[in-house]
Amino acid sequence: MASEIIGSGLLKGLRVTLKTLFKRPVTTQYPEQKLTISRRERGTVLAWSAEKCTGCYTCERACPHGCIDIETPEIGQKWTAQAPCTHRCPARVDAARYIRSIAEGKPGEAVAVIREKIPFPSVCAYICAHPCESACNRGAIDEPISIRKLKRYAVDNDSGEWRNMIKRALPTGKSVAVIGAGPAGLTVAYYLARKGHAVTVLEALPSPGGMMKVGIPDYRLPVRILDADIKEIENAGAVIKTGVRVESPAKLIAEGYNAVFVGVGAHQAMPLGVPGESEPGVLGGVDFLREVNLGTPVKLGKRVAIVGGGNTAIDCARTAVRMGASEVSLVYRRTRAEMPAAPEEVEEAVEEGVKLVFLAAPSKILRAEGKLFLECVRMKLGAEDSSGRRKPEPVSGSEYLTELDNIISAVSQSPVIPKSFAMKADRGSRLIVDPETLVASAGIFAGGDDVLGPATVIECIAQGRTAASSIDLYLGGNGDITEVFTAPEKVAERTGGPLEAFRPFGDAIAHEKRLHTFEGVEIGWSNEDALLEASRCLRCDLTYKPEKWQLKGGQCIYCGLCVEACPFDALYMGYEYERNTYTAADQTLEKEALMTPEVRRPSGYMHPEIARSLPAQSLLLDTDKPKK
Amino acid sequence: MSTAFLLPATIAPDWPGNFWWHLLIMTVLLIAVLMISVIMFIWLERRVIARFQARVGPNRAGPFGLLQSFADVIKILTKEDIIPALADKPLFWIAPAMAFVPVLMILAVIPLSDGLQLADINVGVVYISAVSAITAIGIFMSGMSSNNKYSLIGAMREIAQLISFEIPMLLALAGLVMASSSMSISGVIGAQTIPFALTQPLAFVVFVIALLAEINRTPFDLVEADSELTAGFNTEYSGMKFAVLYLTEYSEAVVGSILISTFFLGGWRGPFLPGIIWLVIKMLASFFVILWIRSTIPRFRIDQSMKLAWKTLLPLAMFNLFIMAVKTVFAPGLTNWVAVPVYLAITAVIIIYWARFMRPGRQSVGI
Amino acid sequence: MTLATEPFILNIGPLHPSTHGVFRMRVVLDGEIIQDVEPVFGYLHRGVEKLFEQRTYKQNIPLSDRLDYVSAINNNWPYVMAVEQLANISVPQRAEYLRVIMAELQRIASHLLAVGSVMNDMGIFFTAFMYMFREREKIVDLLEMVTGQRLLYNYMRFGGVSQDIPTEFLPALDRFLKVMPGYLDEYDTMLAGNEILLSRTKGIGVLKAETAINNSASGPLLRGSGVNWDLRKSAPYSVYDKFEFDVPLGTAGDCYDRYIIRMAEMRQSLRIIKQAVEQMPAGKEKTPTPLRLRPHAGETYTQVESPRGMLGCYLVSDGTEKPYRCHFRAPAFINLTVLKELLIGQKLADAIIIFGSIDISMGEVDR
Repeated sequence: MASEIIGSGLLKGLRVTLKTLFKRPVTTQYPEQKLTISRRERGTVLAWSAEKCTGCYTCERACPHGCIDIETPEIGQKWTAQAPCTHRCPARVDAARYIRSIAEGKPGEAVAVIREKIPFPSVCAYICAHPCESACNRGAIDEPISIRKLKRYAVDNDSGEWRNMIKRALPTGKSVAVIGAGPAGLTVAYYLARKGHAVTVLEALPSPGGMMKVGIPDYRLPVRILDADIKEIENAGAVIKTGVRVESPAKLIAEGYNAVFVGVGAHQAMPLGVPGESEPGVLGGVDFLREVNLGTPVKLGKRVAIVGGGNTAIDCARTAVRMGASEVSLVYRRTRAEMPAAPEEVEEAVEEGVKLVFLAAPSKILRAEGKLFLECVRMKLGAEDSSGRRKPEPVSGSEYLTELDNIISAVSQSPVIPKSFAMKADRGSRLIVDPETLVASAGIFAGGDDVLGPATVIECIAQGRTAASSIDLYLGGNGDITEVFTAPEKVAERTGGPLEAFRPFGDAIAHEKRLHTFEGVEIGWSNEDALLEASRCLRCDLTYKPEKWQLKGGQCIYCGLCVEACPFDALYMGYEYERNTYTAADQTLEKEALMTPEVRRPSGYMHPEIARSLPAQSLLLDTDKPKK
Repeated sequence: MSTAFLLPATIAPDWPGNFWWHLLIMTVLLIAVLMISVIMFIWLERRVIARFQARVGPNRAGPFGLLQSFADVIKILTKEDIIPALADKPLFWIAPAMAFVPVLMILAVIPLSDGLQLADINVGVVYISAVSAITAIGIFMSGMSSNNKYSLIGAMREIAQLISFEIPMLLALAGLVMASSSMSISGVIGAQTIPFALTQPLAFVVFVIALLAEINRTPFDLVEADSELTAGFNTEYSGMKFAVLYLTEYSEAVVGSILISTFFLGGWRGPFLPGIIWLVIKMLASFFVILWIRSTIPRFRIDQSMKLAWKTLLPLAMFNLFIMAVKTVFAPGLTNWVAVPVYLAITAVIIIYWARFMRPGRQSVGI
Repeated sequence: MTLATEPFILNIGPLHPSTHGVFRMRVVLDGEIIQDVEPVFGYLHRGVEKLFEQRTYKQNIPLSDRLDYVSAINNNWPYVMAVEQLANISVPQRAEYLRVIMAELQRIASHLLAVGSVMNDMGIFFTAFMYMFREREKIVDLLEMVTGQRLLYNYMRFGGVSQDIPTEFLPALDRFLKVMPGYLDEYDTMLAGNEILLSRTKGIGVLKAETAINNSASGPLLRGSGVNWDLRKSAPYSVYDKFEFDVPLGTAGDCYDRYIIRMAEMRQSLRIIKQAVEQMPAGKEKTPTPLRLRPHAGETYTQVESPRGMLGCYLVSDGTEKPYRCHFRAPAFINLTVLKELLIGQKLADAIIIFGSIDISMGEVDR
């Protein structure tokens, strides 16, 4: 600049402004010229759908200003057949309804509602994987309703009133054999017994319950709870024979059974797939749990490492703690966010002193000088795979050794189907059946873990229900296993929407006590807590059609939080873009007069599906579009 | 008023026959011309600056927004007239008139066309310099009397600026007087067979810059510097009194354009078209340049403005005077087109050489 | 003989055209020279930090927009980052890129406003301001296309952004990226060599590097003094480590350097946006989080490089659904602490420019 002549800068500036003088002004040229004055109708559109709104008050609570005014009647009406929780439940337990029963102070009715769908209310109340809670609409607001713990409250306070509604069928004279007294098998046995068939359950292990008995430690599911549920099944008429190992289902048919259900489960621990796995001191996860649960003495050292990140791994770790191991570590190849185990269980395990080692995978197990070593390799998270989880990749050269007493491999389980069963299985040795009817071959049905792979109790129960229905059809029945234990619902009043609160804190037994006993860790809720929790329910299957929904004058800042919060997509925020041209004759800027419905172009990205359903439109003017 | 009435090539000094008639008609005419041009200039300024800024400008009131200024006048007149409690009331009252009247008085000696002039006094140049300085006193009074610190600073700046820029301006005009051997405005115009802008480019540059400072236009609008002094001297004014100050400001712009046209662009002189049309064209051209500068150039700081006046414009004006003196003495007849490039070249060299002392970023001078 | 004098105390603000908000400088003047300055804050104090404690975490996002309303998206960022750290929320890669694109667009818009308003303070009658708003309008249009808002976008969410970009956004952004360098060149042609601008800014408001560091200044103010400190390079957050860009540094630390740095940063922002558009992966735009979030009890401090400097958020959670304490390290407020050192001894007119070149936003200063 310094070398230039003084004044040249000024002249350059003058040239720029002069050039601009001859350009078209960029601001509005209305009303001189006929052109688009404004690319859009400034402002956002907030729309509320009376059909979709259920009057849950979420929008009112989401609003940072409190500018939403909503009033609902006290009585709701049935709206959809199934709430998300019910829909998500494999066995379709009507969670929404029994939560309402609990909120009304009728735990007996709640148990009856549960009993209509599953024969294991108590077991589910203790250890269900509760997929319903992840579907719960309340989860998008604060925390999902603690449906499992509410169920536990109901079960703990059961009045047994459902027994009055039991309908007994006449004996049909048909007999069914069920192989395996697991959740699937016992469910089949229960419903078929109710339909009047003679059911015999054959169990290889010394006590019935399958994985519920041998795979789940006592501190989670006390034996008496399981036994009580099994007792009810026996009461229904099923005969359970333990310690019986079946050779093949075909042979049972030959022995005179009209139908056979195979529900042997998945009881074999998957190998780690690393060298040195057969070294003494390396245990399989489910084997370890089974031996502990059946009371077989297990020798466990002080330093134990569990490999895996699922519920079994956590169970093994917490069991090991209770067995007296002082240094329990859990090795998982991803991070805590990716762990498939239930987060609250992980939390409890950490409380009990389990050390979590993330981003590490075992690469070798060796024994030197009588000591057991686990060699692990460090992992790092790479790109996201198809399931949305980030794939772990080993970091070469990062191997490290840990000296241990025991290694428990709790990676996964697989079913073991004896060769003599002569049934078709896939590569994961899961049985191949008709997915609709669970028919494996004529008269032989299969379901549960041996079909699904390692699954949850509730999934197995759902399979059991399907199997029972199709076996009944096969045996000449109507296949209808529906039970009704409750009178039609009368919805009680609710004012002001669901309770605005978080979950009540659940109690657990004292920390010191926990470490040395297999006593149930979790303590059920008190009446107050349960009522509190049940009144948080949004009641997604009902609607409290709002009498009034409006924005308090001029306070809305269009932040969109209510739209994002609405669990029922009843609110919609978008922006209207106008594509109109004005002439000098339009001396008014009155929006209503100019914005006829033909020129309104709604658009929005809050709910893409809504925007997609609207007429095709473009935000860009033709002149604005980039030239090809 | 038909155009034919205004357009005789030469008008007798006592037109339309009786001298008193002449005074009356011319006075009314001048006031009318000033008012109309002020209103049109305001419109022009807003529209042109808007276009410089890639905007449209006022376009709602009337065709092309022509009635915008009238609407503004009505708005201003209906506003409450506030006098600050501790203001010096007589001065506060009289200041707007004090500022406006001299601007009007300048027009008395300007010929709008050949002979279309209120009074052709023989010391026209001196009269203009003298009268235009009174405006500054009016502005100073308004600033002083407002009892507002911004106004006070504005007033102080006005006086500083007046004193500084009056001298180069007068020296520049002295060159014209020397060249035209007359102090009458008609005489100055009569001498411009070639416009003085070409024969005395140095004086032209000095005069335009000094005039911008006199009429408080960017880059010398320190008096009302809106970013630091809110509105400078007229911060406390409202209603009619503000309207008069506003009127003064634009009258100054109008008169300033007329002065540039008259002194340096040949006034009403020009081929083919009648004199008054030429004057309007030249006025508009001058005003356009003023607007162009306003929309492009930042404001000077007060010390920089002073430095420009005393260290640059004054020597340049002296140079011009010297050149003119030399020319008048040694080559009195040398006013043809051949000499124009020589003048331009001399001007360019002097300005470029002198501007080296005005490098930015040097130590500023305190005042 | 000496005259008795008393200091001339001038209150610039709180309602003043060039304080960029309701800020007040109590200035003691000797003539035009500033003897003493007392900055007075608090006219825009809304108790934002206290309001943060009254609302749930998510309801605070719109509130964080309102800190520095000129760069709303950048204000969301440290807050959502803090909550994400406390609540252990992962952000999808696409969301990070969207955040970068939007924040850089916002940075350009903010710098345009900053430079434009300084030019306005300097007395270019709104021209540069209008030109810059012409381009800012394009940016605001782009941001509106995505968020539906034009000033307070409320765009970021815990675990991502509120909505993905529409299909028309990228073509429109491309077009903007193509034309914007031309406009920046135009500004440079018009302003960077302008002598009056140079003389008004060069050597004015010189901030030494040591003073800047001692006052913990940040942003263009610090970089103008030649200190290489840009959080995007020095402590990369989000995905800034994946882009190639330079940190423009000044040498003198005067107003001119700050202006030049803002212009250069706009070009760098364009570079970043270009790379971000190329690298942006497909995927989700946010991890869903509950409306009433309860992060783990604890505290965290996060910071981003906002257009004004290091914008930090110190967040304490007590495990409930409302923050226990939320404090913002507002760069504009901390940058203002050098004001006194910069102003004393300068002229009144320079004070306005120096103040403007710090580029504050009162919403952030007073909070």
